[in-house]
Amino acid sequence: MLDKIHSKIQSHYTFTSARPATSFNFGKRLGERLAGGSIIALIGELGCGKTLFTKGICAGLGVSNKYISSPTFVLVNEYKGRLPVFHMDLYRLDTITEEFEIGMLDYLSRAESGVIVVEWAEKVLPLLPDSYLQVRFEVLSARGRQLELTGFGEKFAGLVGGLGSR
Amino acid sequence: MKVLGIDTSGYANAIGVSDGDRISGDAFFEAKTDSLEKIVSNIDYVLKEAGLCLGDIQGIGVGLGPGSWTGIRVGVTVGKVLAYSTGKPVCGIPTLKVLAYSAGDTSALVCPVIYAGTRDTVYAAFYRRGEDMITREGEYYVGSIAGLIEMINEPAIMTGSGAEAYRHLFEQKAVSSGFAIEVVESVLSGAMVARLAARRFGRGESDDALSLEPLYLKESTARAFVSRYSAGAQAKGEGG
Repeated sequence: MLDKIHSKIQSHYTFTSARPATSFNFGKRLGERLAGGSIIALIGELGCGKTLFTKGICAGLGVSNKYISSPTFVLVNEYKGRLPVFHMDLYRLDTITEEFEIGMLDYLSRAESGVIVVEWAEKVLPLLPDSYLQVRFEVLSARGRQLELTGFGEKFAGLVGGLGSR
Repeated sequence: MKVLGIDTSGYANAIGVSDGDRISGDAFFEAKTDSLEKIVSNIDYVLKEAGLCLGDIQGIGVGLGPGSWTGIRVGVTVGKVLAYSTGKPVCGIPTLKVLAYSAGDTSALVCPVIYAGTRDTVYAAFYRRGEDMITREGEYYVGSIAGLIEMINEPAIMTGSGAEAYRHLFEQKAVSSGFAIEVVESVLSGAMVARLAARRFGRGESDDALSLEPLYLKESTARAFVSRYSAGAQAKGEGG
């Protein structure tokens, strides 16, 4: 799959995590800093920790952990946190026309006031606006993961730059 | 003939009633998170304000979109259910046509534009007004706003929320091309949907309540997004 490279401003940050709890906490730190209108595109194979990372983001946004589950079968979960969170999982979808079938564009326009986290986002890259945050997961070991963050657009430049400092 | 018109293709509820050329009632409820849930009570409100009940209605018109995926689905479904359960005829009208009609009486080409939700992509079509009819010229357009602007090569009236949003681009085109290109505001009206539906009923036409579907243009929308994406990626690659 082609990498999305059309955006003018890109910011990068790589985070290495030795254990799931560290990935969760990193997600939480990200979630605490997210503003309304953020789209987070998660890319990585099965079992690489996308849902766990999403739970971290949700914790950072003030969503109670007990409400969060993988939307693999329901496609979309909506949570109420500091901002509304739309948690999407496109694993079961094969073609881009199916993304339209679930009203992907409606969700993208609703994201203006909330946060969208999309698992298996590589399937909808052509639909995403110019500004979004991409998180690519690399499996290093049974528990170790590398998370490569790329912020597209000005909006994410400061956010991604600030993730290194606590 | 009293016709109820519904269009929810832009999240909002546009509900109206027409009686021949008269408008008996027309209301527009702005999009809120629960606006679609309120559609039935909003229909009830409009009918009551017009001094009517559902039994007085002789046909139902629904806006088919394109527009919000969820929005259209709700309006079309409600229209179909009302028609099926009361045994009244139903008739779908493309929302672009409703907007074109609302732009007023003009001999110029009318181009309604609806924002597709992300990445400067729009739905549009070109309409020409004849004696008593308004006819579409060419296919529905799904693609970039820039591509649509390129297609305009004669004086045109642009209308709809998308035209409003990209007003500056149309004004630029008017200057660069020398064509009179005008952006005209038109509010999506349920009564206008009803009037266009009434005309179809008058010609003895109607749609099947069970099989009527929203105008999603999803195949062409998918194609438009994918081709824009690969073109964008390529252009950037060639530029270094």
